[in-house]
Amino acid sequence: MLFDSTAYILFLILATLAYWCLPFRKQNYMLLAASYFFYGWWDWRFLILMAVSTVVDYLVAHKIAASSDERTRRFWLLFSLILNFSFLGVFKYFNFFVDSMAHLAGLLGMKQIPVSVWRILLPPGISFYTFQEVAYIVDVYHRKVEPAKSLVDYALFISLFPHLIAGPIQRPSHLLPQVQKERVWDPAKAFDGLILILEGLFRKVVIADNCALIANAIFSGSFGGPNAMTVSLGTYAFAWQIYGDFSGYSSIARGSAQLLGFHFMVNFRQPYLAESLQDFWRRWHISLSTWLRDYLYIPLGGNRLGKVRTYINLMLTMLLGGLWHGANWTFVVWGGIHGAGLAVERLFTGKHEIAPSSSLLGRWGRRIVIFHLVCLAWIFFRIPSFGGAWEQIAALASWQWNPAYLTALVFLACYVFALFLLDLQLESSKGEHVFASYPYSLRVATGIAFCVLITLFGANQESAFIYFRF
Amino acid sequence: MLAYVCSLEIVTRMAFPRINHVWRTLQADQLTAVSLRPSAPSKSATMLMVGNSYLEVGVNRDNLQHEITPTFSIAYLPISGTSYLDWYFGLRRLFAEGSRPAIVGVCLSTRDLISDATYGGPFAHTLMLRSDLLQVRKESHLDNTMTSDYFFDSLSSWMGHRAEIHNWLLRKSAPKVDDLVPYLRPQKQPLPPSDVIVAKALPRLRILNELAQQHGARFFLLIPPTMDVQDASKEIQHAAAKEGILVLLPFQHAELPESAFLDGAHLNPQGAALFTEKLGPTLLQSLYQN
Repeated sequence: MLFDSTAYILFLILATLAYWCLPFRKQNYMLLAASYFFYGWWDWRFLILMAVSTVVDYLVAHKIAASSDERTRRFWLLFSLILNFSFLGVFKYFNFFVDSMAHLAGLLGMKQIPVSVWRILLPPGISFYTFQEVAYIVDVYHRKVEPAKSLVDYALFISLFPHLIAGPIQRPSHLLPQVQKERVWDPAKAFDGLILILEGLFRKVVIADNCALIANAIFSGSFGGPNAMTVSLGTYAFAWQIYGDFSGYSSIARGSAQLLGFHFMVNFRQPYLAESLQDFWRRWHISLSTWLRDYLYIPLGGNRLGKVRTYINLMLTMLLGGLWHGANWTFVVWGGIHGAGLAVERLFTGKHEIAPSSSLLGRWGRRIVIFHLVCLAWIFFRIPSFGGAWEQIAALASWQWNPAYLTALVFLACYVFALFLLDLQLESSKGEHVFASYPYSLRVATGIAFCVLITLFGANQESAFIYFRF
Repeated sequence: MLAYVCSLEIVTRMAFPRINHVWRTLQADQLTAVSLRPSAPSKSATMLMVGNSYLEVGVNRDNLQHEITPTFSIAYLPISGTSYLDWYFGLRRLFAEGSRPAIVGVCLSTRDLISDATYGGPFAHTLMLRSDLLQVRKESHLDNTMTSDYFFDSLSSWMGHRAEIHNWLLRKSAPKVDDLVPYLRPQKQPLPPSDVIVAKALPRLRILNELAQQHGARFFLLIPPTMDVQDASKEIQHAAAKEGILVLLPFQHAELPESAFLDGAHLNPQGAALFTEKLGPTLLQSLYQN
């Protein structure tokens, strides 16, 4: 069920109404059933996989918590990690490994390698709920959280529909207690939730889907062969498309959760206003970057084992972060570019933070440089092959002009400007919600404005959120 | 929120047809199509011609009517972007609503004839019977979200036509956007080999033919001139003829010069004049002979 579909809006209204009519324990049962219905909407067979991994991790967490023997605890931890990553590996990366092996064999001169005819269907959201399960097991192992007493509570923590498909990846210490205790209806929070949903829909259907028109046309060759103008236009369009798309999804997820009395962590904080790559990763997909920091980078040693190990750890974290996004080597390169950039920044600053620039010119200069570095990396994220990506980058050196480029640029600028203004407002207010500190009437007007813009300028067809396929 | 949704629906139903002539024409065409009986008051046989933009811009309505008067009285229902499934289900709805023309013509390129796509909201609202939803889901390979969208589109005029309203608003607010349209269209995929096209097209022609016959109408397929190379139109015509299904192909592939086309796909006014001029006699000859 797509967040921008009529079916979801109706589902959310019905689920919210039913939910607040029920007592606490029944609310959890009802939400669990609604979440499984939401997930089964894609394909009911995917439910089996999620249910199995949920039950196994629930039992394993109890085994870990109940044992005082370190070897037993470690055995169950490894068992769970292997199981979870095996599920992820088989369902997400099986096709990738088979194709990569066949390609490698071809390069080594081994012809006619029988490539498996089996193509495994990717269950939506598997990367997200696997990471959430891993976080839970690791936190139970480190005794940071108590294992959930109720299977229903744990299953709801994993499957709560607003975050199930594309996050934000919730930390057990943040969401599990909310699942376990009674939620209280708060009209102010529900109103904030509603505004967040409208803001998210605006980001998705007005900004992202319209930017996608330009990005898709350019990268499919409709504007002719690549040249400096088309590559720049296409990359800018994709940069704002993916930002609008994913931040829109996160806003709808957070808003939906808020209607149900839950609080989800903020997933985006105006990433294109970052002044360094380090800053960018504190603003972009925050739930993933902090997950990678806490469950990969720090366990690898972080910056505690000397300079060389720090760079290796950074690079490894970002390469795996890239691979997490998709089963393709281009995602690894995307992660590699970010990893290399972070390593270079660290080379100059050591363990210190990069201080924000004190001058306006310096601040905007840095923002522009970082935005373009991020855009360069987006080319590898968008183009599915190395050859194609290199072709685009090489074409930056060739110049051509077509009046349609200017029209496309103006079209794009109108949408980007709207999102940019929204980001500037959020950046200046440092708040979680747009115009949060303004009078109620202005916030109502903002909501109405979002409604009108979505109605009039939303792109024509619903399209799946990009991060659904991760 | 409910008030907002209701007002959108009212504005779409009441105001939009008044300000958008394309929609006004479509509504008038639809009413005419539903009211058709086998013979017109002038005693000429009625013909309903449905199709997509190839029909909309490729045929000069007045000239064609002039060419075939008094034998046939022709009514049109062209909807841009439609293809085979739109018209299979669209004809089912027209017949169910009482349309009884003597002849039914469907104007589709072979690419459209073998397509499994349906035209989103406008199809669901204008052409689909709600009771056909599950069959549409199966034939058009819709997922649950799309199926539910089609259901809501069929209920609401706003939902069904929001894409058209959005395009209209965009054109009004930014006329230059029209320059972008040719670039934003999805690129055409290469057509499959001729035998694959014929194998898919022929059963579909049988289905359309049977549907028309069940409602007392004669059926024909009109293949418009396109710039698709090797579109197997000649092969389809031969294969259909063996089964007694009429396929009209007024112009063979590449018979019309490139200068007759507007945008690499559709005919320009000169091309439309040439096509209409040839279509009239072709219709009279083919339908009269049979």
